[in-house]
Amino acid sequence: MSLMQLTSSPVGSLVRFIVIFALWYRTMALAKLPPNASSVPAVLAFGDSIVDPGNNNNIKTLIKCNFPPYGKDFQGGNPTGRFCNGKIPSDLIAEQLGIKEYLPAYLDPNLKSSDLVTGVCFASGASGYDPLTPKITSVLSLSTQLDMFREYIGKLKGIVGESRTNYILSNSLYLVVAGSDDIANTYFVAHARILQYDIPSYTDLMVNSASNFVKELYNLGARRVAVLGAPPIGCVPSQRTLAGGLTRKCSEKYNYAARLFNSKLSKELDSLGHNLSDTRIVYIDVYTPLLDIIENYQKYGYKVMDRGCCGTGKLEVAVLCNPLDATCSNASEYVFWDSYHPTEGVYRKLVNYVLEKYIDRLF
Amino acid sequence: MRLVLRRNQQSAIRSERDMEGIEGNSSRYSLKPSRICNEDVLICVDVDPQCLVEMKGATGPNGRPLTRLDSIKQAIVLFVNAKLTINPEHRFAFATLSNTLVSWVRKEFSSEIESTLAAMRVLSASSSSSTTAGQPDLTHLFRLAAHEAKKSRLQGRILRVILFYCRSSERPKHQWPVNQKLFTLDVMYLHDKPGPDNCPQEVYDTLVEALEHVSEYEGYILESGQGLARVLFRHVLILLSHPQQRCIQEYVDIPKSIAKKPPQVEPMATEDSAPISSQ
Repeated sequence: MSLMQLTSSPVGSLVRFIVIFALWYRTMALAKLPPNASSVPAVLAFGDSIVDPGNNNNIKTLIKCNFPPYGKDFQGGNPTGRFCNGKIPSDLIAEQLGIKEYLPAYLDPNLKSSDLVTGVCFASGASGYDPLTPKITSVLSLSTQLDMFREYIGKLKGIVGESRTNYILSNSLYLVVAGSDDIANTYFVAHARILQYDIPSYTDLMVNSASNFVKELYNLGARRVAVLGAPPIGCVPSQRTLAGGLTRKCSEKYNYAARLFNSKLSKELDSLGHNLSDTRIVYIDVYTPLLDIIENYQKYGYKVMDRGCCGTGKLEVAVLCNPLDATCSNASEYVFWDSYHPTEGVYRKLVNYVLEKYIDRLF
Repeated sequence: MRLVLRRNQQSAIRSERDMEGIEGNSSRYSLKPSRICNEDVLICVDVDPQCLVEMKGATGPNGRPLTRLDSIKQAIVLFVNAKLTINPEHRFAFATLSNTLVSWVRKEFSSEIESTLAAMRVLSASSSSSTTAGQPDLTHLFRLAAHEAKKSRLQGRILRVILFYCRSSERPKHQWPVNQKLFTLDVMYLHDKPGPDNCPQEVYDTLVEALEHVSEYEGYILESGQGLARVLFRHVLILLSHPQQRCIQEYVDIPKSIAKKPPQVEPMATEDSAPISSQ
């Protein structure tokens, strides 16, 4: 009613136009967004290394990257702990929505109160839906990330009050990114679940965990949740090396597991979207667009697809991608930055694709 | 006969008595507490020209082939990172082995990964023109280690030497007192595939002999002739095990074999798994 009044009156229209213009002035890409999306107060991200901006920096794990050459193209060469040469998807989404340039880590020691209001990231590199996945790598589990989120909510109430907090929680965009490490690390490389689960039943385990996670987010106030599916994990350079045979092809069994998980996840999220009231829960397909970039990399302007920019590019990730290694001279020619993670350029293409395709369903 | 029966009866009585006190616990097992010392690790790299042999199928981003020495450096960085993640109190120093002597790369033991990276940057192979032919002598390395080990012990620490050895034919020699076991020696042996021109097995046997001769705790020796960096990394991660917490090497079963697979699991292509060398 209040919104309707605002839009129907001349003054309301003028105010809205000014707001939109101001946001457009700051970020050109914002012009493509529908009206509701331009008033998103915050982005909150959960999951694994694809969106971890440095939460792993101060925990006892090998899965961290707060050292060169990581961050080579970020803030003039600042290795913040992002698993990339530049911005990661959560940064790019916050940028495209016109909220802020970077989505900081919740565990960043330099975090300010103003950062909390516009959103933070709870993700931890090498985490996953299977509780065993973060145990193997000693990183923060999804349930720990929920605990951090609960703590965050308490802090937010202290900063802006309960009423404003509830508004922020119910209107913000939530990103959930996980599944890669469950399939690649826990199931196939470590063989940690292979005696108890075959691929169909293991993907059931993952989907059930994802569903419980989203329900818990809903209980805590989330109403706009984007859950990213698994990428074609068999095609990342390290898994080509480990499981792609002599010619380092994409591992088809890894990709089969990813596709199976994705189809189940999509159905489950649709079901949740119907059953939970007043909510938008959207499955985001990243498998198809990333596979397209990998298979047709030259068409997208890339020169190297089966190796990362760091070191030999066939194995190095986290502490093995370090200042001792040489890096390629131009990361924008590479699909992958290290043996596991895409470059910022690829992430940017994916984020633009995702926003164009799914933004209407989230807002 | 009577003595044996009596002992058994006493055991049975004691067992029953224990069970009376603790219901539901039919078996009890406890580990005696023991102090695990922080480690000083002296990493010694053989810089014979054979350490410049190229690894298989690996090139850097500049097109330069990856050498054994490059892979050893990365393996050391991985090892130190992992070791410090387990316990930030471990310390590391670095040396090189050539034919004539052992040279310090970084003499002060340090717990900083930056110290390791700096040492790896300056580490380089010895040029063949300055090398005299002959067997490398490990005696000097052992003397250095024994000297440092005494200092470590005064601080309640234990010393371990990790030797990366790269020669496929030249057996190292050593002279060392039988009863002096002040440190533990681990060996990572990288060699060419056996052929008419070399015999890595003899070198391996000599290294085993040296290791058993000097080691205070169970020393491990691992070898690879495959020329694959990731196999080297996997071996080096086995060396993360603390000398005071080790089983004897022939019992090490890493990676564990999948003893029984459910019938519905699709037959998996055999992934590369490095066999563990047994003494």
